[in-house]
Amino acid sequence: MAMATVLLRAVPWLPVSVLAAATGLLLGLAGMLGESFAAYWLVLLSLSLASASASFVLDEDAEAVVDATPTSTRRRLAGRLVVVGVPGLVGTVGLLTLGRSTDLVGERFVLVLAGCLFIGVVAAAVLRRSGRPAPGDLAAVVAAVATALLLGADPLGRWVSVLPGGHGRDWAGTAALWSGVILAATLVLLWTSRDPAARHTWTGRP
Amino acid sequence: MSTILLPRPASGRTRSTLGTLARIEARRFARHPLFLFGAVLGLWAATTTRDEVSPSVFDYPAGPAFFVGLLGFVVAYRLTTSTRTSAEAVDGCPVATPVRTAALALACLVPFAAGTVIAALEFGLVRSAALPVNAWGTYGNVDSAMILLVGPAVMCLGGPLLGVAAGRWVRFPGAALLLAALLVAGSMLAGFATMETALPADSVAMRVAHVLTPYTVFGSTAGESQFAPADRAVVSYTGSPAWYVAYLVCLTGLALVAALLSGAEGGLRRRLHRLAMVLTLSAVGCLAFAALGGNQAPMLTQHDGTTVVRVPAG
Repeated sequence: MAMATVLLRAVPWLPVSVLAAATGLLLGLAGMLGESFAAYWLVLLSLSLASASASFVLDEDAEAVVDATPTSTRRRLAGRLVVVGVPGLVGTVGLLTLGRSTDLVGERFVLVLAGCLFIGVVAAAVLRRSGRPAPGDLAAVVAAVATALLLGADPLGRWVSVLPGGHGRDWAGTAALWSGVILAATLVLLWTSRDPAARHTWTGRP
Repeated sequence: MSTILLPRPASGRTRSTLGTLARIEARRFARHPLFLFGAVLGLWAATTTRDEVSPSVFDYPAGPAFFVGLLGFVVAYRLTTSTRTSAEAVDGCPVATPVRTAALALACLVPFAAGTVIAALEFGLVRSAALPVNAWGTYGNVDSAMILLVGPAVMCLGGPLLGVAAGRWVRFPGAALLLAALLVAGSMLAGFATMETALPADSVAMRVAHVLTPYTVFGSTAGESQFAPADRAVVSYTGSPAWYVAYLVCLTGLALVAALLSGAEGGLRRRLHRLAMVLTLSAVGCLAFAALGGNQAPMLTQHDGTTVVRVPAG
């Protein structure tokens, strides 16, 4: 508990909370617009912001000090992942509220939100692995642009829609796609959080 | 007795320093991965085959505006804030902050050039395409050039300049994304929500709101407009595209002044304040002409070219 408190104290709460609040604001605006073209794009933009918000949770300016403590990188990662709950909670409440008032999104959009959050965390984890103790600022840009293009351009539209509008439209393929994204992101997170002394194992133990 | 005339080293050095710094910053901008990514995507979006119904010609400016202008905003912000970690060393060098800011502002000519090329390419392709007679709605040649060519080019300069200004004045992680998202959301609300919801689109408040943001849309086709019947009718929104572009130029100037004001002192600061005042008044004037000129209400142009006032919802 004490370790979790210390870990959470180092989180850059300002960008996380401001971007999460902006996510909620955009979803609220989308709800006011109803089922219009602009509302759909506002939902897309809010998902990108949620992804950007999640990118800041791994920032640790005092990495050199923290690395010397007898706590594994995975344990520290697990502690930090709690913070993803902030944009996650705001986004989930916003999407569920929007889903009740319009046909624009459904409850299953929460799965898309989870995938976007994972993309943000993975972008930060990969950049952090490459030697940046506080990769949030760069990872947020990468994650937001990648998510916006993925959702907006719908590159796999011929086979499966990345973000189908409304309830129950082509959801099986979309759910499989985003589940795959989350699974892949989890594997990347496990890989990036390996102990530096145990690079040859997947368990992270020497 | 002899007279020795010495050159003016200070201004000459400033000019050469500015040129050198501007070249360095321009290279940094041109090599930034996000700018290159945006420019390639913008070029791709401008040259790919388009659907006959949607996106309409009114959506085409979104390519350079988003991929070069908006991403240029983020790039400029990051370049401006990139020296923060070495602030002690940078602040100690004998170059004033406004000169460094001016160099960054000159570097914004890189996205401006890229955006102009993309917009010109898009304009040429659209001009050479066999479009339906109602493709441009109520807009003539000048207005169509303003919407598709001049407007996006100005956005590709204004966005990065705003990024420099934001980088000088706003200092917290994630600020670039937050501001970019607010720009997009505001533009979406202004462009579509004022014209495509049950709100009275012909009211003065909605017409002003429609042209208030740095990006707006001047029309739509049946694919997007919930009010247009599905016979490929085109809706032309309210406002004057030419005055809107003039308003954008004023906003671009204001962004430059806001950026230069950071660290400016004495006479320069006073001059910039006066310039800001002139630009603000000009922007208000252009906004008024942009909102109250052009179409007074959304107009519906049928596939045979006949135009009627669009019936409001409800």
